[in-house]
Amino acid sequence: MPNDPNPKSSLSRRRFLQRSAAASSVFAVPCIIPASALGRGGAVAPSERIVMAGIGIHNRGGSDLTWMMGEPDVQFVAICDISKERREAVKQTIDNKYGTKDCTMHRDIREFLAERTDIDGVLIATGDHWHALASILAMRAGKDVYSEKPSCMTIAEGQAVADTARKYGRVYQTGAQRLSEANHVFAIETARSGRLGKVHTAYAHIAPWDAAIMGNAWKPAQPEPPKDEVDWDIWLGPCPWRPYNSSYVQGDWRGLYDFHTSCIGEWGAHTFAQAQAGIDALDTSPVDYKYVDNPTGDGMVTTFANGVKMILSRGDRYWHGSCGERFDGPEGWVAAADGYSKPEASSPALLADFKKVVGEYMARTQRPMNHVRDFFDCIKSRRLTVANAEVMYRSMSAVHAANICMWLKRDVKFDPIKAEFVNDAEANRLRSRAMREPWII
Amino acid sequence: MLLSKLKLSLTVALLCSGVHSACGQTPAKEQEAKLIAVLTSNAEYPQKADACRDLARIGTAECVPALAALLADAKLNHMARYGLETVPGPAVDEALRSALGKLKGRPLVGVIGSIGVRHDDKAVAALTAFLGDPDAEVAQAAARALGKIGSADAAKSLAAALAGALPANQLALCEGLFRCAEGFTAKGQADQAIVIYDSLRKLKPAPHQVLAGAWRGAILARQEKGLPLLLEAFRSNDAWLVAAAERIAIEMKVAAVSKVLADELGKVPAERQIMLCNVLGRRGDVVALPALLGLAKAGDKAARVAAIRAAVELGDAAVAVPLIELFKDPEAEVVQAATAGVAGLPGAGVDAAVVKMLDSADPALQLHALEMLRQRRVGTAVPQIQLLMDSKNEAVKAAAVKSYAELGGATDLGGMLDKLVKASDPAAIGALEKALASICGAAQQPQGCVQQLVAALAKAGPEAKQALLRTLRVAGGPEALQALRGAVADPDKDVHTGAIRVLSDWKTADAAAVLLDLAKTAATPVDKILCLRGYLGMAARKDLPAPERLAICQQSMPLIQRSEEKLLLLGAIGSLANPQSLGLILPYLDDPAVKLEAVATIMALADKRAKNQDADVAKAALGKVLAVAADNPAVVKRAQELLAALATEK
Repeated sequence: MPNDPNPKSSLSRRRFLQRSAAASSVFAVPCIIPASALGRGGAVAPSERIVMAGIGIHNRGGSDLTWMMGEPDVQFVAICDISKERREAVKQTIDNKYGTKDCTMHRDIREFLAERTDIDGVLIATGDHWHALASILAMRAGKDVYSEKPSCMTIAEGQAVADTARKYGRVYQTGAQRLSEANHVFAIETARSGRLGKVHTAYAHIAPWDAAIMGNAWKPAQPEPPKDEVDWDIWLGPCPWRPYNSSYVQGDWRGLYDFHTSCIGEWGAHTFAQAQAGIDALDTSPVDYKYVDNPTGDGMVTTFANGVKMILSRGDRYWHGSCGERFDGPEGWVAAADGYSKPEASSPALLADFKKVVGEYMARTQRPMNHVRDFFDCIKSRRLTVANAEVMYRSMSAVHAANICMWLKRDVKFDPIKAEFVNDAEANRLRSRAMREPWII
Repeated sequence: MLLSKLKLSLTVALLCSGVHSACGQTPAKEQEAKLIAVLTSNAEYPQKADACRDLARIGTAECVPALAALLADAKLNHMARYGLETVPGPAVDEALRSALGKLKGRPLVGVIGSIGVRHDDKAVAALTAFLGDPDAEVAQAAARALGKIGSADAAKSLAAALAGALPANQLALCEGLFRCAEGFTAKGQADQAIVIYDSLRKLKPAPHQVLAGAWRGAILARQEKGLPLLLEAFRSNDAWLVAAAERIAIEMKVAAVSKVLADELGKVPAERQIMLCNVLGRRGDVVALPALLGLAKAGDKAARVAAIRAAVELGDAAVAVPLIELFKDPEAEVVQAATAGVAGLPGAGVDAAVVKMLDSADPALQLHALEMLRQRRVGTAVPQIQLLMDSKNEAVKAAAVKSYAELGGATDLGGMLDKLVKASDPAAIGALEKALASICGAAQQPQGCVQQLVAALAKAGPEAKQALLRTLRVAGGPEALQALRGAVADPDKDVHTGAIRVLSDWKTADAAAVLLDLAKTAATPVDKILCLRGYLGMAARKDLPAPERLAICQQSMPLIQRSEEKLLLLGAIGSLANPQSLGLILPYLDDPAVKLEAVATIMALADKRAKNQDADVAKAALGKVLAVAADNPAVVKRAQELLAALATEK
C-alpha cells in the first residue's frame, strides 16, 4: 500500500475501534479481541498489526528492535540507514525473525518517508544529532515515533518535536525506559504520593564518563565512500560539515559538541525525567542553575519554580549502580537505580509497600511495566505515552540549560514558559544552532 | 598543524565563550575583531568555520558583512548562517534578504530557513515568490519559513499556494499554515486561526495527520464553542478523525468536555462507549463518575469493563463501594476488573470499605476482601482477619491465615500461636507454620518472635512443637538455638529427631559446636549421621574462614567410623580447596569402601590447583593414587599429567 496518503482510512470503523478497545485491555481481560487474533495461537491478524520500520539501527537500536519484535502485534517491514552494511544486517535480523525476505531497505529518510506511507511507526536509534530531526520528519509524514535518547540537541529542537507531536496528533515515546520499570516507578510514586512528606530535593545521575565541557576536533580525513555504501552527507545531517572518517559512523562521536549532549545529556536524558516525575514536574523545567567549578556538572543544584531542588550527581553516593534517582523528604528518602534488585528507602516500612505502590500506579494509569509495550498500546489507543514528547522536551530543556550553565561558567536562570533564559542574551544564543541545509525544520 | 590550530580554536570557543566568559581577559569587541579578521583572511575552511561558530555566540552587527560575504560560498554557507542566525539586529535580516536573489539550490534553502528562524516579516513578498519555485526544496523551505513569520500576509500567500500545490509540496505548505494559525492563536487572534484550520479541515485529498491537526486546531481555538465539532469528530466514521477526537478531548482544558462526553455515553454503541470511557478516565474529572458507574452496572461486557477502569482512573474513593457491589456480578471479566480496580484505589476510605466486606456472610466476598487487604497491605485489618482464621469455610480460613501472615507483625503472633498449640489437623498446622515463618522471617527484631515461640513450645503437642522448632530456625539467633538444643532432650521421639534435623540445617555457624557435641553423644546412628551432616555442612560455608572450616573436618575425624560418615567427610574436605586437605584424604585411599571417592576427591583438588598447595603433599597423594587406581587408565593418565606439571613448578 505504499504511497496511499491515508492508508488506514480503508480500515473499517469497527476494526479501528476494536484496536482501540484491545489497547485498553492491558491488565485484565481484553475487551474486544478480533476472533481472527484469538484463533491463531496468539498470533495477531495482519490487519491488527502495528507496522514498524527502523531508522538508524545500531547497538542500542538493535536491543530496541529485538525488544519490539517480541511484541506479538508488531511487525517490522523496513530499515532506513545511511550505511549499506547496517541496512543489510538489520534486514537480515528482521527477515530471520519473520521467516521472510520482505524487509525493504532505504538510504534516504526523505524518500523512505515519502514512499512508505503504509508504515504506522518508526524506531529511531540514529546518532543523537539526528533524533529530533528524524522524529519531526517522521511525525510530519504521519508516523508515530519511538526515539532513542537524548532526543534533541538543543532546546529549540526539543520544542519543535513537542510541537510537531501535538500538532499532528502523533504518538511519541522517548527511550527513557526506566519510567516504565517497577523499581523506578516505585521510587517516583513513593515521592509523588507524599509518603516521604513534601519532597524538597531530588537527585539525578549524570554519566560518569565524558564531561560537560566538550571538544570538537576533527578526526583525520578519509576518502568518502560512495553514497550507497555510506551516505556521509546524510549522516552529518543538520550539523556543520566535516571530513569523513569511518569511526564517526561506527559511533565514535561522543564528547563532540556538534553531535553529543555531554555527560549531562547522556544520562540526564533518563534521570532528569525520572527525578521530575517524582516531584510532579514533568511539564516544566528547573528555573535556576548554579554553576559548579568542575568539568562535569557534578553537584550542580537546579531549582524549580516551587523551590524543589534537583541535584546532579556523577557518582553513586545517592544510589547503587547507574541511572539512578533519589528523593528526599522530611519523613524519609527513596532511591532507585540499575544496580538495585529492589529500590532502597530510609525505612523497611516504605519498601514493604512496593507491590501496592506499583499496583496502584498501574491501575490508575493503565500502563504496563514495559516501555515499548506502552508505546504500542498508545499507538492503538492514541493516548499519550509515559515518556511523551512534552516529557522529553521539558527534561531535555533541563539538560541543555545545565550544559549552557557549564559552558558559560556561571549561574543561569531559565523561564520554562517562555523557553528562554531570563535577561540573558548570551545564554539565549545557545538555545538553538543553525541547521545545515537542506535539513532545516 | 592545521588540526592542532583548529583544536586550539575550538578549545577557546568552547571553554571561553562569551563576552564575560572565564577567559575574560579578551574584551568582546577585540575578540570579535579577531574572528572577523579570520573570516576575511586567506585562512582555510576549518578556521573560518570555527570563527563563524564563535561569532554565533558573541557576534554583533560588526561581523555581519564578513559573515554575509560567505553566504555565497558553497562550502561555508551553512557556517555563515550558523554565525548570523543568532546575531541581534536588522543588519542580519537585510543581509539574508539581500542574498535571496543571488543564490540557488541548497545555499538558497539555507538562507530561506534562517529568515524563517528570525521571523523576518519584511521577507514575506520575496519568500512568496519562491513558493512556486521548481526546486521542491526551495519551495518547501519557503513555505515553512513563511509559516514561522506567521503574519496575515504570509498566511494569505500560503493559502493561495496550497490551492494549486504540487503533491510534493503539500505537507510543507500545510506545515506553514499550521504555524501561522498557531501564531494567531498565541497572539489572541483566534478568528484568523480558525479560518486556517477550517480550510485545512476541508482540504482534499489530505494526509490523515494534516486533517487531525486541522480538527484539533479548529476545536481548541474555538474553546467551549468547539464542543459541537468535537462531538462531530467523535461521531465520525473516519477512523483517523475519531482517533484525533480522542486525543483532542484528553488535551482540551475546557471543563464542560467531561460532562458532554459523559452525557454521550448513554447514546452511543458499545465500541464508542469504550472510547469515551478511555477519554473520561484520562481526563480524571469526577463529573463523569455517575455516568461511568451507571455503565459499569449494566450494558455490553467490554464497555462495562472499560467503564470500571475509567472510574478507577479518576481515583476517587467513592468508587470503591459501587465496585465492591460488582464482585458478585455473573460476568467474570467484570468481577476481575472491579477487583483489580478496588485493589488499586488509594485511600483509607477504600480500606475501610474492604474491611467491612469481611463481615459479609458470603464466603466469596470474604475471599475477595482478604485478597485485597493483602494486596493493599491494610495492617489495621489484622484483628478482623484473625477472626476469620476460625472460619468454618476452609478456603476462607486458609486465605485468612495467608493474609494474616503477610500483614501481621511480631506483636500479632499471639493469636496464631494459640491456634497452633490447639491445632491437631496436619493441614491446619502446616498453614499456620507457613504463616508464622512468613512473619518471623520478615520481622525486624526476630528476637521478639523467638520469645513467643519458645513460650508456646511448653504448651504444644508433638506435631505443633515440631512446627515451632522449624519456625525457630527461620527466626534464628542464640535463644532459638538454645531452645532447639533443649528440644533434643524431648521425650517424644519425633520431636527429638525433628530438633536434630532442624539443628543440622541451622542457618548460622554458631550451631557447629552444638552439632559436634550431639554427634559425640548420639544414641543412634541416625542421630549421629544427621549431626555429622549438619556439622560437616558447616565446612562448606564460604562465610567461614578457611582455618575454621579445616578445623571442622579435623575435629570430626575421630568420630568417623562408618562408610557413609566417611563419604560425608570426603565431601566436606573436597569443598575446602585447602593446601592441607589432601593430607586428610590420604588414609582413605586404603579403605576399599571409600577408595573410589577418595581418589575422585584428590583428583578434583589437584585439578583445582589450590593456592599454596603443598607440592610434596600433592606429589604423595597423586603417587598413591597411581598405586591404588592402576586399573583406571583415565585417572592414571591425569595423575601423571598433574605430577609432571608439579615437577616443572618450583
